Amino acid sequence: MSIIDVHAHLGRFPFPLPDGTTQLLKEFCTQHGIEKVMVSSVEAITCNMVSGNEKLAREIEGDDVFLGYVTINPNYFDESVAEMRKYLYLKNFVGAKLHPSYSAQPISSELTYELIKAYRRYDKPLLVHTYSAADAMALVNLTKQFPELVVIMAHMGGPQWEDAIRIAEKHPRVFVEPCSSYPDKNKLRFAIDRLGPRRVLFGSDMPLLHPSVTLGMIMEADLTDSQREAILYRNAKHLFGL
Amino acid sequence: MEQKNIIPIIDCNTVVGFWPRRKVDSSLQALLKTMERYGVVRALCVSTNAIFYDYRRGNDETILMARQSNNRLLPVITVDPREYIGCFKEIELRARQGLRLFRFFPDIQGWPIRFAPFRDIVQMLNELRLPWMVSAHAIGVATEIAELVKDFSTPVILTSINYNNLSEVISVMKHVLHIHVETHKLFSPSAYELLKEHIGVERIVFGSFAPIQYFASSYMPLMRSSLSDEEKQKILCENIRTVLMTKVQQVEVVGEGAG
Repeated sequence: MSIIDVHAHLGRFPFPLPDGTTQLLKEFCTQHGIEKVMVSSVEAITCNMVSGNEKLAREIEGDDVFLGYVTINPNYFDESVAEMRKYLYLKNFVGAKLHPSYSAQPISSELTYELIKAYRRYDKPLLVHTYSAADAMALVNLTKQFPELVVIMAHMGGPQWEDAIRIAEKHPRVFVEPCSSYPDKNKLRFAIDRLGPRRVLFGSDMPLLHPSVTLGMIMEADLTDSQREAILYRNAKHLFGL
Repeated sequence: MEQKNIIPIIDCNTVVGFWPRRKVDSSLQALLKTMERYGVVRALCVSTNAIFYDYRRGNDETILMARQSNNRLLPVITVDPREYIGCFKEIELRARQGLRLFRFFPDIQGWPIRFAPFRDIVQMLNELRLPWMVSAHAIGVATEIAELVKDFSTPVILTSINYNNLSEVISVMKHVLHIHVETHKLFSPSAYELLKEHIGVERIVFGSFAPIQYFASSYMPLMRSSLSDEEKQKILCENIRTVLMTKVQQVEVVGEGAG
Protein backbone atom coordinates (compact mmCIF):
# COMPACT_ATOMS: atom_id res chain seq x y z
CA MET A 1 0.00 0.00 0.00
CA SER A 2 1.47 3.37 -1.02
CA ILE A 3 1.66 6.10 1.57
CA ILE A 4 1.70 9.90 1.42
CA ASP A 5 3.06 11.58 4.52
CA VAL A 6 1.63 15.11 4.95
CA HIS A 7 3.65 16.13 8.01
CA ALA A 8 7.42 15.86 8.36
CA HIS A 9 10.38 18.17 8.80
CA LEU A 10 13.84 18.80 7.46
CA GLY A 11 16.35 20.07 9.98
CA ARG A 12 17.45 19.65 13.54
CA PHE A 13 15.40 19.75 16.74
CA PRO A 14 17.07 20.43 20.13
CA PHE A 15 16.60 16.83 21.27
CA PRO A 16 18.73 13.70 21.01
CA LEU A 17 17.48 12.86 17.53
CA PRO A 18 19.13 12.22 14.21
CA ASP A 19 19.34 15.23 11.88
CA GLY A 20 16.30 15.45 9.67
CA THR A 21 18.20 15.24 6.41
CA THR A 22 16.70 14.30 3.06
CA GLN A 23 18.80 11.13 3.23
CA LEU A 24 17.45 10.09 6.64
CA LEU A 25 13.85 10.78 5.66
CA LYS A 26 14.30 8.84 2.44
CA GLU A 27 15.62 5.85 4.39
CA PHE A 28 12.49 5.92 6.54
CA CYS A 29 10.31 6.37 3.46
CA THR A 30 11.85 3.30 1.85
CA GLN A 31 11.52 1.26 5.05
CA HIS A 32 7.85 2.17 5.48
CA GLY A 33 6.63 2.38 1.88
CA ILE A 34 6.14 6.16 1.91
CA GLU A 35 5.95 7.40 -1.65
CA LYS A 36 5.85 11.14 -1.00
CA VAL A 37 6.57 13.21 2.08
CA MET A 38 5.59 16.81 2.70
CA VAL A 39 8.13 18.72 4.71
CA SER A 40 8.59 22.05 6.44
CA SER A 41 11.86 23.45 7.73
CA VAL A 42 12.66 23.13 11.44
CA GLU A 43 14.78 26.26 11.22
CA ALA A 44 11.90 28.17 9.64
CA ILE A 45 9.42 27.00 12.28
CA THR A 46 11.60 27.53 15.33
CA CYS A 47 13.68 30.55 14.30
CA ASN A 48 14.41 32.18 10.96
CA MET A 49 11.59 31.63 8.50
CA VAL A 50 13.39 33.13 5.51
CA SER A 51 16.66 31.22 5.69
CA GLY A 52 14.87 28.03 6.73
CA ASN A 53 12.48 28.15 3.78
CA GLU A 54 15.37 28.87 1.44
CA LYS A 55 17.40 25.86 2.61
CA LEU A 56 14.38 23.61 2.39
CA ALA A 57 13.62 24.76 -1.16
CA ARG A 58 17.21 24.04 -2.16
CA GLU A 59 17.24 20.60 -0.57
CA ILE A 60 14.01 19.35 -2.11
CA GLU A 61 14.44 20.87 -5.57
CA GLY A 62 14.25 18.23 -8.29
CA ASP A 63 13.57 15.43 -5.80
CA ASP A 64 10.24 13.80 -6.49
CA VAL A 65 9.93 12.23 -3.02
CA PHE A 66 9.65 15.61 -1.28
CA LEU A 67 7.03 18.32 -1.42
CA GLY A 68 7.40 21.50 0.59
CA TYR A 69 5.41 23.70 2.92
CA VAL A 70 6.49 27.30 3.14
CA THR A 71 6.60 28.35 6.79
CA ILE A 72 4.93 31.65 7.59
CA ASN A 73 5.10 33.66 10.80
CA PRO A 74 2.36 36.14 11.78
CA ASN A 75 4.92 38.30 13.62
CA TYR A 76 6.49 39.05 10.23
CA PHE A 77 3.60 39.90 7.95
CA ASP A 78 5.44 41.52 5.04
CA GLU A 79 8.19 38.91 5.04
CA SER A 80 5.62 36.10 5.19
CA VAL A 81 3.74 37.56 2.25
CA ALA A 82 7.02 37.70 0.33
CA GLU A 83 7.79 34.07 1.27
CA MET A 84 4.38 32.96 0.03
CA ARG A 85 4.91 34.80 -3.23
CA LYS A 86 8.36 33.28 -3.60
CA TYR A 87 7.41 29.65 -3.03
CA LEU A 88 3.72 29.02 -3.48
CA TYR A 89 3.84 29.34 -7.26
CA LEU A 90 6.41 26.55 -7.38
CA LYS A 91 5.04 23.15 -8.29
CA ASN A 92 6.77 21.37 -5.44
CA PHE A 93 5.36 23.65 -2.70
CA VAL A 94 1.96 22.37 -1.69
CA GLY A 95 0.91 24.70 1.12
CA ALA A 96 1.97 26.71 4.14
CA LYS A 97 2.87 25.73 7.68
CA LEU A 98 1.87 27.69 10.75
CA HIS A 99 3.26 26.85 14.19
CA PRO A 100 1.56 29.01 16.83
CA SER A 101 3.68 27.68 19.72
CA TYR A 102 7.08 28.57 18.27
CA SER A 103 5.91 31.94 16.95
CA ALA A 104 4.06 32.62 20.24
CA GLN A 105 1.26 33.95 18.11
CA PRO A 106 -2.09 32.25 18.80
CA ILE A 107 -4.24 30.98 15.95
CA SER A 108 -6.94 33.34 17.18
CA SER A 109 -4.75 36.46 17.05
CA GLU A 110 -5.37 39.45 14.82
CA LEU A 111 -1.94 39.02 13.23
CA THR A 112 -2.71 35.42 12.27
CA TYR A 113 -6.05 36.51 10.84
CA GLU A 114 -4.36 39.15 8.66
CA LEU A 115 -1.76 36.68 7.44
CA ILE A 116 -4.32 34.03 6.51
CA LYS A 117 -6.32 36.68 4.69
CA ALA A 118 -3.24 37.12 2.51
CA TYR A 119 -2.67 33.36 2.22
CA ARG A 120 -6.14 32.32 1.06
CA ARG A 121 -5.62 33.51 -2.52
CA TYR A 122 -3.13 30.70 -3.12
CA ASP A 123 -5.85 28.12 -2.73
CA LYS A 124 -3.58 25.59 -1.02
CA PRO A 125 -4.06 23.74 2.29
CA LEU A 126 -2.71 25.27 5.49
CA LEU A 127 -1.01 22.89 7.94
CA VAL A 128 -1.38 24.15 11.51
CA HIS A 129 0.17 22.75 14.69
CA THR A 130 -2.65 22.08 17.17
CA TYR A 131 -1.98 20.60 20.59
CA SER A 132 -5.11 21.43 22.54
CA ALA A 133 -8.87 21.73 22.14
CA ALA A 134 -8.42 25.50 22.30
CA ASP A 135 -6.10 25.34 19.27
CA ALA A 136 -8.66 23.22 17.44
CA MET A 137 -11.44 25.67 18.25
CA ALA A 138 -9.36 28.65 17.12
CA LEU A 139 -8.56 26.89 13.85
CA VAL A 140 -12.19 26.07 13.17
CA ASN A 141 -13.08 29.70 13.88
CA LEU A 142 -10.45 30.78 11.39
CA THR A 143 -12.00 28.63 8.65
CA LYS A 144 -15.38 30.19 9.42
CA GLN A 145 -13.93 33.56 8.49
CA PHE A 146 -12.41 32.33 5.24
CA PRO A 147 -14.88 30.10 3.41
CA GLU A 148 -12.32 29.03 0.82
CA LEU A 149 -9.63 28.03 3.31
CA VAL A 150 -8.76 24.34 3.76
CA VAL A 151 -6.78 23.48 6.89
CA ILE A 152 -5.05 20.43 8.28
CA MET A 153 -5.16 20.10 12.03
CA ALA A 154 -1.65 18.71 12.65
CA HIS A 155 -1.48 16.41 15.72
CA MET A 156 -5.29 16.47 15.87
CA GLY A 157 -5.26 18.43 19.13
CA GLY A 158 -2.51 16.30 20.77
CA PRO A 159 -3.69 14.90 24.11
CA GLN A 160 -7.08 16.57 23.64
CA TRP A 161 -7.78 14.77 20.37
CA GLU A 162 -11.28 13.72 21.37
CA ASP A 163 -12.42 17.32 21.82
CA ALA A 164 -10.50 18.42 18.72
CA ILE A 165 -12.32 15.85 16.60
CA ARG A 166 -15.70 16.89 17.99
CA ILE A 167 -14.85 20.52 17.24
CA ALA A 168 -13.85 19.67 13.66
CA GLU A 169 -16.82 17.41 13.04
CA LYS A 170 -19.17 19.88 11.36
CA HIS A 171 -16.52 21.70 9.37
CA PRO A 172 -15.80 19.85 6.13
CA ARG A 173 -12.79 22.02 5.24
CA VAL A 174 -10.97 20.89 8.37
CA PHE A 175 -8.81 17.80 7.88
CA VAL A 176 -6.99 16.05 10.71
CA GLU A 177 -3.61 14.40 10.98
CA PRO A 178 -3.16 12.27 14.12
CA CYS A 179 0.59 11.96 14.78
CA SER A 180 1.63 12.74 18.36
CA SER A 181 3.13 11.21 21.47
CA TYR A 182 -0.40 10.12 22.42
CA PRO A 183 -1.23 7.01 20.38
CA ASP A 184 -4.34 6.42 22.44
CA LYS A 185 -6.37 3.37 21.58
CA ASN A 186 -9.56 4.11 19.59
CA LYS A 187 -8.25 7.46 18.39
CA LEU A 188 -8.44 6.52 14.71
CA ARG A 189 -11.78 4.79 14.98
CA PHE A 190 -13.22 7.82 16.76
CA ALA A 191 -11.88 10.17 14.07
CA ILE A 192 -13.34 8.07 11.25
CA ASP A 193 -16.70 7.72 13.00
CA ARG A 194 -17.00 11.47 13.54
CA LEU A 195 -15.35 12.90 10.45
CA GLY A 196 -15.81 10.16 7.92
CA PRO A 197 -12.93 8.41 6.17
CA ARG A 198 -12.07 11.28 3.81
CA ARG A 199 -10.82 13.88 6.28
CA VAL A 200 -8.14 11.89 8.08
CA LEU A 201 -4.58 12.05 6.73
CA PHE A 202 -1.35 10.28 7.56
CA GLY A 203 1.52 12.31 9.01
CA SER A 204 4.66 11.00 10.65
CA ASP A 205 6.28 14.08 12.23
CA MET A 206 9.70 12.72 11.23
CA PRO A 207 12.37 13.21 12.52
CA LEU A 208 10.71 13.96 15.85
CA LEU A 209 8.74 10.72 15.84
CA HIS A 210 9.42 7.36 14.23
CA PRO A 211 6.94 6.83 11.36
CA SER A 212 5.97 3.48 12.92
CA VAL A 213 4.24 5.26 15.79
CA THR A 214 1.40 6.61 13.64
CA LEU A 215 1.55 3.71 11.19
CA GLY A 216 1.14 1.41 14.17
CA MET A 217 -2.03 3.26 15.16
CA ILE A 218 -3.45 2.97 11.67
CA MET A 219 -2.56 -0.69 11.27
CA GLU A 220 -3.93 -1.69 14.67
CA ALA A 221 -7.10 0.41 14.49
CA ASP A 222 -10.37 -1.28 13.73
CA LEU A 223 -10.65 0.00 10.13
CA THR A 224 -11.49 -1.48 6.76
CA ASP A 225 -8.75 -1.79 4.14
CA SER A 226 -10.45 0.94 2.16
CA GLN A 227 -10.46 3.31 5.14
CA ARG A 228 -6.80 2.53 5.78
CA GLU A 229 -5.94 3.21 2.15
CA ALA A 230 -7.85 6.49 2.27
CA ILE A 231 -5.95 7.69 5.35
CA LEU A 232 -2.56 6.57 4.13
CA TYR A 233 -2.82 7.68 0.52
CA ARG A 234 -6.05 8.59 -1.26
CA ASN A 235 -7.14 11.53 0.90
CA ALA A 236 -3.81 13.33 0.57
CA LYS A 237 -3.68 12.64 -3.15
CA HIS A 238 -7.06 14.26 -3.62
CA LEU A 239 -6.53 17.12 -1.19
CA PHE A 240 -3.23 18.19 -2.74
CA GLY A 241 -4.21 17.32 -6.30
CA LEU A 242 -1.27 14.98 -6.78
CA MET B 1 3.21 -6.43 11.69
CA GLU B 2 0.42 -8.29 13.41
CA GLN B 3 2.05 -11.68 13.03
CA LYS B 4 3.22 -13.05 16.29
CA ASN B 5 6.92 -12.59 16.63
CA ILE B 6 9.16 -15.51 17.44
CA ILE B 7 10.63 -13.48 20.28
CA PRO B 8 8.50 -13.94 23.42
CA ILE B 9 7.27 -10.64 24.80
CA ILE B 10 6.83 -9.64 28.40
CA ASP B 11 4.98 -6.34 28.44
CA CYS B 12 5.89 -4.56 31.67
CA ASN B 13 3.37 -1.73 31.35
CA THR B 14 -0.29 -2.67 31.18
CA VAL B 15 -3.40 -1.75 33.14
CA VAL B 16 -6.83 -3.29 33.55
CA GLY B 17 -10.05 -1.76 34.80
CA PHE B 18 -12.24 1.28 34.35
CA TRP B 19 -10.33 4.19 32.80
CA PRO B 20 -11.98 7.44 33.90
CA ARG B 21 -10.06 9.82 31.64
CA ARG B 22 -11.71 8.79 28.39
CA LYS B 23 -14.03 6.09 27.09
CA VAL B 24 -11.95 3.05 26.24
CA ASP B 25 -12.30 -0.70 26.67
CA SER B 26 -9.62 -1.45 29.24
CA SER B 27 -11.12 -4.69 30.45
CA LEU B 28 -9.19 -7.84 31.18
CA GLN B 29 -10.60 -9.29 27.94
CA ALA B 30 -9.36 -6.32 25.93
CA LEU B 31 -5.86 -6.70 27.32
CA LEU B 32 -5.80 -10.46 26.76
CA LYS B 33 -6.99 -9.93 23.19
CA THR B 34 -4.13 -7.51 22.51
CA MET B 35 -1.66 -9.92 24.09
CA GLU B 36 -2.96 -12.72 21.91
CA ARG B 37 -2.78 -10.58 18.77
CA TYR B 38 0.88 -9.68 19.27
CA GLY B 39 2.17 -12.78 20.99
CA VAL B 40 2.69 -11.27 24.43
CA VAL B 41 3.31 -14.18 26.79
CA ARG B 42 3.16 -12.21 30.03
CA ALA B 43 2.05 -8.73 31.02
CA LEU B 44 2.88 -6.90 34.21
CA CYS B 45 -0.39 -5.32 35.17
CA VAL B 46 -1.93 -2.83 37.59
CA SER B 47 -5.62 -2.43 38.37
CA THR B 48 -6.89 1.06 37.51
CA ASN B 49 -8.85 0.98 40.75
CA ALA B 50 -5.52 0.92 42.59
CA ILE B 51 -4.29 3.94 40.66
CA PHE B 52 -7.37 6.14 40.84
CA TYR B 53 -9.35 5.08 43.90
CA ASP B 54 -8.32 2.55 46.55
CA TYR B 55 -4.95 0.89 46.26
CA ARG B 56 -5.75 -1.87 48.75
CA ARG B 57 -8.86 -2.98 46.91
CA GLY B 58 -7.17 -2.38 43.58
CA ASN B 59 -4.17 -4.50 44.49
CA ASP B 60 -6.53 -7.31 45.50
CA GLU B 61 -8.19 -6.97 42.10
CA THR B 62 -4.83 -7.08 40.34
CA ILE B 63 -3.98 -10.34 42.03
CA LEU B 64 -7.41 -11.77 41.26
CA MET B 65 -7.13 -10.77 37.60
CA ALA B 66 -3.74 -12.42 37.39
CA ARG B 67 -5.38 -15.64 38.54
CA GLN B 68 -8.27 -15.23 36.11
CA SER B 69 -5.81 -14.80 33.28
CA ASN B 70 -4.21 -18.15 34.02
CA ASN B 71 -1.23 -16.16 35.20
CA ARG B 72 -0.62 -14.49 31.89
CA LEU B 73 -0.78 -11.31 33.95
CA LEU B 74 1.79 -10.70 36.63
CA PRO B 75 0.53 -8.45 39.41
CA VAL B 76 2.18 -5.09 39.98
CA ILE B 77 1.39 -3.44 43.30
CA THR B 78 0.87 0.24 43.89
CA VAL B 79 0.30 2.52 46.84
CA ASP B 80 -0.63 6.19 46.87
CA PRO B 81 1.91 8.30 48.82
CA ARG B 82 -0.72 11.00 49.42
CA GLU B 83 -2.33 8.60 51.86
CA TYR B 84 1.05 7.68 53.38
CA ILE B 85 0.04 6.14 56.71
CA GLY B 86 -1.36 2.87 55.37
CA CYS B 87 1.20 2.43 52.61
CA PHE B 88 3.78 0.66 54.76
CA LYS B 89 1.39 -1.99 56.00
CA GLU B 90 0.28 -2.61 52.41
CA ILE B 91 3.85 -2.94 51.15
CA GLU B 92 4.68 -5.28 53.98
CA LEU B 93 1.62 -7.42 53.24
CA ARG B 94 2.27 -7.63 49.50
CA ALA B 95 5.95 -8.34 50.00
CA ARG B 96 5.01 -11.17 52.35
CA GLN B 97 2.65 -12.48 49.67
CA GLY B 98 5.61 -12.64 47.30
CA LEU B 99 4.76 -9.79 44.92
CA ARG B 100 7.88 -8.60 43.18
CA LEU B 101 7.22 -5.25 41.51
CA PHE B 102 5.76 -1.97 42.76
CA ARG B 103 4.71 1.06 40.77
CA PHE B 104 3.91 4.74 41.35
CA PHE B 105 1.83 7.26 39.41
CA PRO B 106 2.88 10.81 40.40
CA ASP B 107 1.67 12.18 37.06
CA ILE B 108 -1.86 10.84 37.51
CA GLN B 109 -2.12 11.34 41.28
CA GLY B 110 -0.52 14.78 41.24
CA TRP B 111 2.33 14.62 43.72
CA PRO B 112 5.98 15.60 43.23
CA ILE B 113 9.03 13.34 43.40
CA ARG B 114 10.50 15.59 46.08
CA PHE B 115 7.80 14.49 48.51
CA ALA B 116 8.62 13.24 52.01
CA PRO B 117 6.02 10.42 52.03
CA PHE B 118 7.37 9.07 48.73
CA ARG B 119 10.93 9.21 50.04
CA ASP B 120 9.93 7.08 53.07
CA ILE B 121 8.08 4.58 50.89
CA VAL B 122 10.93 4.00 48.46
CA GLN B 123 13.30 3.75 51.40
CA MET B 124 11.20 0.84 52.64
CA LEU B 125 11.15 -0.80 49.19
CA ASN B 126 14.91 -0.52 49.03
CA GLU B 127 15.26 -2.17 52.45
CA LEU B 128 13.01 -4.99 51.26
CA ARG B 129 15.01 -5.15 48.01
CA LEU B 130 11.92 -4.73 45.88
CA PRO B 131 12.14 -3.06 42.44
CA TRP B 132 9.69 -0.35 41.43
CA MET B 133 8.50 1.66 38.44
CA VAL B 134 7.61 5.33 38.29
CA SER B 135 6.66 7.77 35.57
CA ALA B 136 9.27 10.40 34.70
CA HIS B 137 6.78 12.32 32.67
CA ALA B 138 8.37 15.76 32.46
CA ILE B 139 11.78 17.35 32.17
CA GLY B 140 13.54 17.31 35.54
CA VAL B 141 11.62 14.40 37.02
CA ALA B 142 14.23 11.77 36.06
CA THR B 143 16.95 13.90 37.66
CA GLU B 144 14.97 14.11 40.90
CA ILE B 145 14.39 10.35 40.91
CA ALA B 146 18.09 9.73 40.32
CA GLU B 147 18.99 11.96 43.26
CA LEU B 148 16.48 10.13 45.42
CA VAL B 149 17.76 6.63 44.62
CA LYS B 150 21.46 7.14 43.98
CA ASP B 151 22.40 5.45 47.27
CA PHE B 152 19.88 2.64 46.86
CA SER B 153 20.54 -0.62 45.10
CA THR B 154 17.22 -2.08 43.93
CA PRO B 155 16.25 -1.57 40.28
CA VAL B 156 14.08 1.43 39.40
CA ILE B 157 12.26 1.60 36.07
CA LEU B 158 11.40 4.99 34.59
CA THR B 159 8.32 5.10 32.36
CA SER B 160 6.96 7.79 30.00
CA ILE B 161 10.31 8.75 28.51
CA ASN B 162 10.06 10.54 25.18
CA TYR B 163 12.31 12.69 22.98
CA ASN B 164 11.79 15.60 25.35
CA ASN B 165 13.56 13.98 28.32
CA LEU B 166 15.59 11.24 26.61
CA SER B 167 18.88 13.11 27.02
CA GLU B 168 18.14 13.60 30.72
CA VAL B 169 17.42 9.90 31.13
CA ILE B 170 20.62 8.91 29.35
CA SER B 171 22.52 11.18 31.71
CA VAL B 172 20.92 9.78 34.88
CA MET B 173 21.34 6.19 33.66
CA LYS B 174 25.05 6.82 33.09
CA HIS B 175 25.41 7.84 36.71
CA VAL B 176 22.91 5.57 38.47
CA LEU B 177 23.37 2.05 37.23
CA HIS B 178 20.24 0.53 38.73
CA ILE B 179 17.93 2.86 36.80
CA HIS B 180 16.15 1.25 33.84
CA VAL B 181 13.96 2.73 31.12
CA GLU B 182 10.56 1.52 29.88
CA THR B 183 9.55 2.08 26.27
CA HIS B 184 5.86 2.94 25.82
CA LYS B 185 6.63 6.54 24.85
CA LEU B 186 10.00 5.94 23.25
CA PHE B 187 8.87 7.12 19.84
CA SER B 188 11.77 9.05 18.36
CA PRO B 189 13.84 7.67 15.49
CA SER B 190 17.12 6.14 16.67
CA ALA B 191 16.03 6.22 20.33
CA TYR B 192 16.98 2.57 20.75
CA GLU B 193 20.25 3.00 18.89
CA LEU B 194 21.08 6.00 21.05
CA LEU B 195 20.33 4.18 24.29
CA LYS B 196 22.35 1.20 23.11
CA GLU B 197 25.33 3.43 22.33
CA HIS B 198 25.30 5.30 25.62
CA ILE B 199 23.98 2.89 28.23
CA GLY B 200 23.65 -0.49 26.51
CA VAL B 201 20.46 -2.48 25.90
CA GLU B 202 20.43 -4.37 29.20
CA ARG B 203 18.50 -1.66 31.05
CA ILE B 204 15.73 -1.14 28.51
CA VAL B 205 12.44 -2.96 29.18
CA PHE B 206 9.51 -3.12 26.81
CA GLY B 207 6.15 -1.66 27.80
CA SER B 208 3.11 -0.74 25.72
CA PHE B 209 0.56 0.77 28.13
CA ALA B 210 -2.01 -1.53 26.53
CA PRO B 211 -4.95 -1.46 26.32
CA ILE B 212 -5.04 2.33 26.82
CA GLN B 213 -2.52 2.94 24.06
CA TYR B 214 -2.12 1.21 20.68
CA PHE B 215 0.31 -1.65 21.25
CA ALA B 216 1.79 -1.35 17.77
CA SER B 217 2.88 2.25 18.33
CA SER B 218 5.46 1.16 20.87
CA TYR B 219 6.17 -2.26 19.39
CA MET B 220 6.86 -1.26 15.77
CA PRO B 221 9.57 1.36 16.44
CA LEU B 222 11.54 -1.27 18.39
CA MET B 223 11.05 -3.97 15.78
CA ARG B 224 12.03 -1.58 12.98
CA SER B 225 15.11 -0.32 14.81
CA SER B 226 18.55 -1.49 13.70
CA LEU B 227 19.08 -3.51 16.90
CA SER B 228 19.92 -7.20 16.46
CA ASP B 229 17.36 -9.90 17.23
CA GLU B 230 19.35 -10.78 20.32
CA GLU B 231 19.18 -7.19 21.56
CA LYS B 232 15.47 -6.97 20.82
CA GLN B 233 14.97 -10.18 22.77
CA LYS B 234 16.67 -8.65 25.78
CA ILE B 235 14.39 -5.61 25.61
CA LEU B 236 11.21 -7.56 24.91
CA CYS B 237 11.74 -10.25 27.50
CA GLU B 238 15.02 -10.94 29.20
CA ASN B 239 15.80 -7.63 30.87
CA ILE B 240 12.58 -7.49 32.86
CA ARG B 241 13.20 -11.05 34.02
CA THR B 242 16.54 -9.89 35.34
CA VAL B 243 14.88 -6.95 37.10
CA LEU B 244 12.46 -9.27 38.80
CA MET B 245 15.46 -11.44 39.70
CA THR B 246 13.53 -14.53 38.93
CA LYS B 247 12.19 -16.49 36.04
CA VAL B 248 8.65 -15.86 34.80
CA GLN B 249 7.59 -19.34 35.83
CA GLN B 250 8.65 -18.68 39.40
CA VAL B 251 6.73 -15.40 39.50
CA GLU B 252 3.63 -17.23 38.34
CA VAL B 253 3.74 -19.59 41.29
CA VAL B 254 4.26 -16.73 43.72
CA GLY B 255 1.41 -14.73 42.20
CA GLU B 256 -0.92 -17.70 42.44
CA GLY B 257 -0.45 -18.00 46.16
CA ALA B 258 -0.89 -14.31 46.80
CA GLY B 259 -3.91 -12.57 48.25
